[in-house]
Amino acid sequence: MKKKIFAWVLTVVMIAAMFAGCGSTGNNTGSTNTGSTGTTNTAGTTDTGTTDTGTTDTGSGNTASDKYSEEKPYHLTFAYIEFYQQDEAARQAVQDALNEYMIPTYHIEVEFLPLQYADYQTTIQLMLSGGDALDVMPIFYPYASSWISMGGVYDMNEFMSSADGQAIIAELGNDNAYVGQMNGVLYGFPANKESVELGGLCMRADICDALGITEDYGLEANKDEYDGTYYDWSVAADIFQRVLDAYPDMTPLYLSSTSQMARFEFFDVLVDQFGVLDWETDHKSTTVVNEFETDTYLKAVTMLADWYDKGYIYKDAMTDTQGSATVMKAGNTFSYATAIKPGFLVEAQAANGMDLYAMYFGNSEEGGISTTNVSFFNTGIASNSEDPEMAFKFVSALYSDATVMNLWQNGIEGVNYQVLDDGTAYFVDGQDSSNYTYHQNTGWFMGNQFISYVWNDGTKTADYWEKLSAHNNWAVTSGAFGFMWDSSEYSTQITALNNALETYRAALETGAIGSANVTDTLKKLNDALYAAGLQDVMDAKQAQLDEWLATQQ
Amino acid sequence: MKEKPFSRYQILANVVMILMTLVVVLPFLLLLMSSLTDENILVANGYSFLPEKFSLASYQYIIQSGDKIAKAYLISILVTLIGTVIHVLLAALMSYPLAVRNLPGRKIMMFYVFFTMLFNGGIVPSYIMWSSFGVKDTIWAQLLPVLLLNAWNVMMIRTYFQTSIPESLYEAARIDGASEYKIFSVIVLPLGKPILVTMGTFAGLTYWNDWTNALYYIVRNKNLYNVQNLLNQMVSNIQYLTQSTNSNVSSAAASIPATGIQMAIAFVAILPIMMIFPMFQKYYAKGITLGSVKG
Repeated sequence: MKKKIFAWVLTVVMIAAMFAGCGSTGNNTGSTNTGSTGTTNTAGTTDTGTTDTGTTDTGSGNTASDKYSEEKPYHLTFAYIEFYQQDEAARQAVQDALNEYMIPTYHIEVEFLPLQYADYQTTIQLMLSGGDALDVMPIFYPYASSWISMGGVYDMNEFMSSADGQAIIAELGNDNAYVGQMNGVLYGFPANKESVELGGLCMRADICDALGITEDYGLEANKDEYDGTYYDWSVAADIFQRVLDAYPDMTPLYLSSTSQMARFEFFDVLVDQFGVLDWETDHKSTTVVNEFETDTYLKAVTMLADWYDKGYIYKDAMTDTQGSATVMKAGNTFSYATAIKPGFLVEAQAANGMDLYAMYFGNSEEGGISTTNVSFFNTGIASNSEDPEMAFKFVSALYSDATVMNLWQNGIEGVNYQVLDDGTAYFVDGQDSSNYTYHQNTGWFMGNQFISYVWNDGTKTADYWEKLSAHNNWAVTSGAFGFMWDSSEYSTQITALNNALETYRAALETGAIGSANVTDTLKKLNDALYAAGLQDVMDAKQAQLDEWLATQQ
Repeated sequence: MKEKPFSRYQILANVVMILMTLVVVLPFLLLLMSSLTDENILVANGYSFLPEKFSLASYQYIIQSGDKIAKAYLISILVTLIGTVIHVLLAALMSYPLAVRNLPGRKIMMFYVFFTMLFNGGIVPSYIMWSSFGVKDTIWAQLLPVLLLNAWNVMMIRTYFQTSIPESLYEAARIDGASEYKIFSVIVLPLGKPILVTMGTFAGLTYWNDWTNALYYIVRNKNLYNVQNLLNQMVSNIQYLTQSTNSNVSSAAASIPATGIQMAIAFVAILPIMMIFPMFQKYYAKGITLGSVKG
């Protein structure tokens, strides 16, 4: 009997041991860096072949559309990322409704190709190299250089003088329309969205009220528009101390292992952080420097290390990946650092399940805008496209045709959403965010959401898009705005640099190393970076930047 | 059996084995318990074997994601069963000739098999090849690429056929006039059961755990996702939504019990294999190297 039980236990052990090996592969794919600044550049092909410019006709729209008719429309594959699960039948219905409009108007029949964030990069890359049918696709900026050098992206410059191209420029503005450009190849258009990433604090309202912080700093419920008031981070330290005095068990500030340096100091990271512009020192600087040797960076990490020592920062920040909503809901965290924009509080309050106040921080006069702030996901055309001119018509429609954007984002009016009296849109009666069938909610990702309806989630009004544009307008653009560095020849170095940086970054940027070790660790980090080839990358970047600047004159 | 007092060796061996068992079992227990813990408690107190507050929210979320899970389970089971049978059959068919000592060109064939362990075409050429075969967005995508035959398994089976089944048995059969097919079906397959079952277990596990095939070859027809694909997709999406610094996170997405769900998902994924495995234990215990023909 004893033997039998023992045998059983052994069996279990054996299975378990097997799973320790096999099982882990199943669940850890999502590690593609989702943070805004941490850019893991995947090793791309090293050949620098320029993209082929396919069609020979130079683009007056008529010739192309003559080839297609209402009876014989151009079949277009539109790949995008579905961040929120949609009902399959509802999506099909929306696609049919969209085609009902697209075929007579544009002679284009659209096929949706929804991808998952997790497998988006692999899927597109394989489709590009396998020559599959693909026309319009999202291009995440870190992937741009390798996709261009593998010849997967169609250069859209040739279409820009056409009416469709001009329509996009009219919507985005000349600067933003050309931001998705690398080495003269126009690979994509950014979504119209909030672009400033100036740091702020999102704090629990009940504690602010109880401690008098609300009165001291004039905080108000649902006040998240930038009115010129901002505080120095030393003010935040005072607030944290007050919270800690009153509630010794509480964590005043939540930080996670995802890089949040952009909340504290703004650098134009020039895509990958290896060689940056020290924006805080000189707004119009065009000299590529090593971010980790700047005084700006030293000051920021010293401050964070000091905070950590004083117990302001979440103890497990260095390894934590839970996200702010999870820890806030758990109830022992006072605040987290985030980017604040108009309409931020409603979303944050829903996500965290409590009343919150927002406060702007920063030690410069305004927020900064770099290429990568604007150019996050870009709408581009795959070189697989059978007829890039028709694909471009669809891209243009995403930016200038409200009907297309509303259908894709919100679904069918009356079935998936309704337009309220004040001109905003919301789910039809009987549906809400828990049981809807179709609502992409990703206008910030592709296309021009500013032409579609404002989604009314409680406080947003019809003029919300104007508020967002105004929010972008007070920011100052970096001297290298519009410049995109082509790293395809340096992919090995970039991988090595990322590894070196990841060894020390989380410890430095969450303050977890402690004040005593800041200079030492920084020195180790810099040594590791230079050993990994930082100087080469910086030199190449500077050369490309100078070249680009010369063409801008 | 006579009860003997425990020898020092027995006690020591037992203690060591029990400790090793604990090292493996405890994490699984913790996994199960944390999947049953209330999300807020989980975040506040961390993982524990005896949670302060139980909650089935994670499992509820998984079930609520519709009949997708059931469908995916069906695909997983189907693919694993069919895939394993074909895999073992092909591997055995491949191994037997290689085990025959006087087979002409055996060395070259052996090298051909071995070569695939060291070099392969890589993702992109494989993708283009399989796409041109038309496996994209069909059930074949889960079944055929990469997993159908494995050089390592062929080598293991060949070695077993060669060393653990006595040469004299083959000779006797040949003298009696048995054809190669007869030898294969009557002698090799029954006697090779331990190794075939062991390799079958490996193949089955690989099929069950595989998510890359669907990642590459199933783009449009998500109905063909297996459990691993579905779970992988859920986890990565949760990861995105919670870590997003973009602040475009809707209330619905943020109410997902993130940590608990990941635990529940991991548990759901290993459960079937955990239940099936003991059935094959009889053969497995005989092992890859231990088995030999008696009498």
